[in-house]
Amino acid sequence: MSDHPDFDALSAYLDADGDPGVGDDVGDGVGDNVEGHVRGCAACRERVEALRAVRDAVGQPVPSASDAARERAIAAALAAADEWMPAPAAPAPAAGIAAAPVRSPSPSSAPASSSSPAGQGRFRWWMGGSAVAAVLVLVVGTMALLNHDSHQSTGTALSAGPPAAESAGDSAAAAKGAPGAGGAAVTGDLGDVADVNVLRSRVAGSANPLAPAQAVAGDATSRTNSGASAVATGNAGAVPVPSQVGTRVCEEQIRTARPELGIVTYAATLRYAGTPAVVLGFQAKGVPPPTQLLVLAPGQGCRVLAETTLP
Amino acid sequence: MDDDASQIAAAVGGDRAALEALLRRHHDRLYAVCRRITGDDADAADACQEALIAIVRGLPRFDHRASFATWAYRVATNAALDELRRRRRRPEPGLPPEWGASGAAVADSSESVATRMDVDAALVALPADFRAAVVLRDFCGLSYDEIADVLEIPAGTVRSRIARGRAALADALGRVGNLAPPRHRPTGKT
Repeated sequence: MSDHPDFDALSAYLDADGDPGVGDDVGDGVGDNVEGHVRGCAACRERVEALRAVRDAVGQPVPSASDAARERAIAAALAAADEWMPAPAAPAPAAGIAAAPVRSPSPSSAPASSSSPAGQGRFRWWMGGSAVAAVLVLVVGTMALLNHDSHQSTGTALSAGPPAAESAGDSAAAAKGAPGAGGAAVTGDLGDVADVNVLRSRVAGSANPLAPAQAVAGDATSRTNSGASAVATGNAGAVPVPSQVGTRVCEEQIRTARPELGIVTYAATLRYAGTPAVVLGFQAKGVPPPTQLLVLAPGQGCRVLAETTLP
Repeated sequence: MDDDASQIAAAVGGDRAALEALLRRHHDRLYAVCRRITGDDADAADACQEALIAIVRGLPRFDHRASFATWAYRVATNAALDELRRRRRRPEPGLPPEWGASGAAVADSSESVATRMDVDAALVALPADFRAAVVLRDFCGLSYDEIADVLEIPAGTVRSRIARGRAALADALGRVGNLAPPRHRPTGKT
């Protein structure tokens, strides 16, 4: 039977070494007895030194964040302060834009790459710009529906179920938020959905099963939020990138209102009972499914149109 | 900490410049802990951004029971762990039943290869809970009590996780030497 201190004690002894304040909270078994033993025991001294080497290795500096990443993070965090901080005296945007109240999903609604710390002013402009872009998208889309019968309109195509993937060019253009890409935002669209039963069935049968979508949604939302092009994730063909961009606003709103929902594991656009909407799937942290599905109307202040659970 | 307190008070009062200064002052260390926990630059950037957003959202409710730095570490640690869960890129291995028993890894390693990448790889191979405890102690320099507060676990569990985490790291990094009890001592390269 060995009289050597156990490993927990040696590890704690290392932490207490040279830092008396730490010794108070490392627990029993660390103190004069251990120290005395280690002094007289070459084997234990060697073990402590091995632990010290590990501690030093873990304590090595890590590469710093890039300046761009730092600025994106800070800009995004400052934007989040809008939820509770009084709005600053921002520069007055162009007439007609400031009054637009709609936070509408559109590819252009991705937060701009906020390389400037003055992200708030830019954020205001971005909101106004997204409203204008949304109106343009709606107008263009409506004209397309009315004037191009030979083309499958969005609604018609989607009523038959999830559409085939758009061409790579369309997807890439949409992912980049290129002008005109809004009309192509059917990639990842669930189509016309009449009720929650249809919704569950569409989501369950979606080309974006929840598990992969979970990882991708994390990519798309976070990287989009950080200002990088969603196409940079390399998943543009697998996820509804435009939806991710557009749902970001609603995601933030609903997560703020209902923080218990957890992480986003699914996102897509749809037309719910005739209303343009997005569906977000949430999963509580650290627990297995079910997934909570919320249908939100970005054009109506992200009002919850429906809510259901996907087992 | 005085700077933190005054900047928090100003920020909560609507001073955006104070908020930005607070975020800038803490960004690098929060990124660093995210980087250590996730082992990946992009994951760390995302986790750090999520952490900063969560900090800003929670700032009006920050009650100063813990220091701002400790609270921020908690938020960043959780964000990093969430990022790992979200990505599901990496398996969450269990610790070997008895640390030090994986002789092959020990025998094939040496101190000369314990580079930064090795440390990253070794940390990533640790179960997340152990990784967080070790990083908070050995990288951030938090006390056991502070780690217990951050991870919301008892201090005794902190001590155990740090010890077992270090043991697994020593094993993975080939720094075992006489770390293992004699019955587990590696016999050499096979």
